[in-house]
Amino acid sequence: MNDIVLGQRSLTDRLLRVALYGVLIGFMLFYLAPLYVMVVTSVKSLEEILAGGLMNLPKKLDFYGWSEAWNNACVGTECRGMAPFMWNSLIASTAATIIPTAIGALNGYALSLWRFKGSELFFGLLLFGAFIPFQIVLLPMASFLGWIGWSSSLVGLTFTYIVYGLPFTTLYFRNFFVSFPMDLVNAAKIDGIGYFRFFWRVALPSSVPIMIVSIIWQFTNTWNDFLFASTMTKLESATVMVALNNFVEVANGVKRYNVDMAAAIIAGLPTLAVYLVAGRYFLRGLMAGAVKG
Amino acid sequence: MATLEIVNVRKSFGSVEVLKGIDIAAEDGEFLVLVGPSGCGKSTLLNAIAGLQANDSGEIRIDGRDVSGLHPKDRDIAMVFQTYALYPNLSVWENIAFPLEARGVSKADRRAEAERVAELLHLTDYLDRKPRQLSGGQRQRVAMGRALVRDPQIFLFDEPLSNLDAKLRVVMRTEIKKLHRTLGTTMVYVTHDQIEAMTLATKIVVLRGGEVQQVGAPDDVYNLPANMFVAGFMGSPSMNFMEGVLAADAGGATLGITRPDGGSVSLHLPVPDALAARYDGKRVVIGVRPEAMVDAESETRDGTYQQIEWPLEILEPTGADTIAVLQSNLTGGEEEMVARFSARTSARPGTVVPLNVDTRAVVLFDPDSEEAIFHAAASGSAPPVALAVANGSGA
Amino acid sequence: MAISEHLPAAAKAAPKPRTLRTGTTWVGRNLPWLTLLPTGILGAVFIYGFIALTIYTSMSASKLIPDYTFVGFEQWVKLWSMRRWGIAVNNLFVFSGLFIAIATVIGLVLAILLDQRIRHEGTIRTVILYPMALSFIVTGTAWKWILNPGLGIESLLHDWGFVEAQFDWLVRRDRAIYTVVLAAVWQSSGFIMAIFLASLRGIDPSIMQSAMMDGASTWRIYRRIIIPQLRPAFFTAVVILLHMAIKSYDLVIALTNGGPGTATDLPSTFMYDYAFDRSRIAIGAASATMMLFTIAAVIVPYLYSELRSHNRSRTS
Repeated sequence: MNDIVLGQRSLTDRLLRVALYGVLIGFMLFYLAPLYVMVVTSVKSLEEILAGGLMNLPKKLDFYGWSEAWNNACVGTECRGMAPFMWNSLIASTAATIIPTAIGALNGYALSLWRFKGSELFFGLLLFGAFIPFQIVLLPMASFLGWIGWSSSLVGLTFTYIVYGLPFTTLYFRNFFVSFPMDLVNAAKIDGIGYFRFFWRVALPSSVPIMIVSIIWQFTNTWNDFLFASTMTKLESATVMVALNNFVEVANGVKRYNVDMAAAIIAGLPTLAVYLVAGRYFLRGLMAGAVKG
Repeated sequence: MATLEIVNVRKSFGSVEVLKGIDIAAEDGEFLVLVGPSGCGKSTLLNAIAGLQANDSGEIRIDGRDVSGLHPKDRDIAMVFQTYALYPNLSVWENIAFPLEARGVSKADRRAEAERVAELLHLTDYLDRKPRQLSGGQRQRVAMGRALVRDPQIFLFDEPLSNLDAKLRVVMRTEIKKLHRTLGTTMVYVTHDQIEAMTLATKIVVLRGGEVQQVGAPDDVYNLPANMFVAGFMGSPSMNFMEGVLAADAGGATLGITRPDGGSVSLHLPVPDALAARYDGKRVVIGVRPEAMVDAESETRDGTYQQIEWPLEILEPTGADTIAVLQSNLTGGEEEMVARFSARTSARPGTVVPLNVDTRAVVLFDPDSEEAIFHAAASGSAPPVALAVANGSGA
Repeated sequence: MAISEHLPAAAKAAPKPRTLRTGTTWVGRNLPWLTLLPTGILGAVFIYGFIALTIYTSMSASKLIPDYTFVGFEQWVKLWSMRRWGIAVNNLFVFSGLFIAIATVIGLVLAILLDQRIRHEGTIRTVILYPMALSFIVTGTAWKWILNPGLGIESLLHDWGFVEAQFDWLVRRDRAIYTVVLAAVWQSSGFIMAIFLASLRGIDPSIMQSAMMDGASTWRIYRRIIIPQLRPAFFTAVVILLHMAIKSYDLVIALTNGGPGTATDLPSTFMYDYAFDRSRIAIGAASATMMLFTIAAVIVPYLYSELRSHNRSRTS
């Protein structure tokens, strides 16, 4: 007890402390190892890779993998590298981020600050939509897109992302605005501030943090999506994840692991970058999607 | 500028009736304070006036026009909230001028209005700050500024000072009073703090359990309480109650009181003959304000004071004077009584001390109905029922 | 009165709000739900309508092309008699059981370790959580390389002197599913750590202090006082992990593609294969329906309790 009071540590305490850091470093290595392997593999020559030494640093830096992945990698019969697919992903993800976030903000605003009879039920029903296995809508959605002429197109995919992103974005904004002081709305009502003016001038500007959460969530989720993308697109309209998988699966002859790894890093880089820049919001989005309170 | 009439207003939440038929009338320029313990319905009533919650039945008339069905913004009222309800992302001046923005006033004019109101409220130096950069008192002022800029018919205040510390509360109380004097607009003010009610109001409404207990000027509510609840709620420390038996005699009645220690004392009261006859030999409760009960040893008073002796339990010096805590004889209760002694009192706790009771200020209550039956202060004539007090005193 | 001397000339000049505006017209009064109408329609059609359609399809005679002859539970019975579906369901049990157990334990341990006033806690958290930002396709690709029998971990073990070591789980029928568990745990345990850590941070530190003054050991304090208080976090973690396990698709596709053979098939890969590649639409729909029911059984009570407790805390 004295030790604690004086801020001194006994020997056992100090040993425990060392062990604690040791275990944590071990875990960090476990989480970092695959990334490390990806990076070193991507800058090794194929001969060096085939010689073994998974964890070894490259003897000589070789960017063949990267240039192949970016410029020439074949997906199906197309050998134009990852670049066009990155572009497809960027278009689909950007549209599928902005639109649901905007609609979700209005929805959340209405559901929390302007409750009406049945608004809680509405929210509950919409919320369930955030948790369904998307397999349950996959067949009808594919037929629907075919029916309106959007099958195997980026438009169709983007539309799909928007529809199934709405439950999440609504959830974020609703749970954010729920903790908004009701007195603010009451004051606005008395002062004659209209529904949209209050949204535009007060609610929306105050919701920047949750807007970031929603944007990051939608972006990473649509960027990382594979199920919808592989169903709703064809070769020209494929997203980068579909391309990556196709590319890694289909390659014939000797597997070019350096190209695979470079392609995987390229595909993962945008979301990784978002995570490194705005990790706090990323986590908040994950948590908000999990713990509704 | 407007009168406010509340006629038989009722409101229930589910099966709980929160307002049980409220009737209040306020003159133009009145400072009406709704006071009562939490759950008495005062905030619900204010929200009904504001239109934030619809009343189930009855009428709320502003300047004679029933506004019950109207949207809040169409009632021409402004409200200051307990939480201030400042828009966090707008600057002080934008907050103040926001109601004007909705009415299509140009930006330059809005800024000018905000500046003018800010000057009135000593906020000029803070116009471009955000609410979170302000102190509690400043936020309070911004909230008032936003109400002022509207120039409404009626101002509503919902416990506006309860989030401030004790010192600032006193300062802001004074400011609000000044504002009322300057503007002369009708104000309705909700509080649970009876001191705020006393200091601010031109008319107090005491509420309890969704019913009006008494309506009247602060003095009247204090000196002529309609029942034991009002008597106990208004005033701090609250009124002392003792139980005794009345015996009619020449020129009134004598109240015989048995002390908790078994001794007995008596007070002669100038009650009207009819009342004395009605309660002859019956139990009554006498209410005495602490300041009407003083230390007979160190303070000499004139002939309206009558001396009784009572066991003293504890002395609590407060500097200016000393609070003497005595034990009440009220049945069932561990109730205490408080007397105001001089700071230099020589009284000793644990002894029986002589007290001077000001019989001009006592009130008698029926112990069963808890209604007041006799106010010594009302020039000897007993008001028969509570409402008579209410109506006779207001304006 | 006096007010006009101090106050808003413009406010007086400005038009008072006209009586018929937002809040008084029909549209004004109904704006909140009108706002939600587009989403409501989309949800009704694309969520609930499509769910109904898929369930109906699972009860139809559809094969290669949709055939909406109602056949009752015929396809469901057929599904449950399929050997491959049996494997997929069995795999789901093995996978979700191990995945949930391991990820929960690792997440909890990491959270407790990180809660010991660690230096560089932020950096460590960033490292532990980053896999969550990656696509399962990316991590699947990476793990596929790492677990590669010839040049992956196996060769690494050989390099380190374990010449006899064998690590060919990725291509072994009876082991491949564990590689999926490994990659899934690697990806998700950081998130579970974050859930537990948030919950730990919510515990009043004076409880810990008072228990220490009572002379309880750190281990006992965690076992008897702290961990029991994490019950809601356990609940959340398990629901999330189970939800993830049932929906797992991309990872299996990228890592094993359901193979070797059908050894790592899950209901999700089964569904896709039958619905799209084999064009046995009704069977695909039936398997999707099973997935939905399983998730609904977990999620609906969870959402219900979350919403209810949330509303309670709001009204109080």
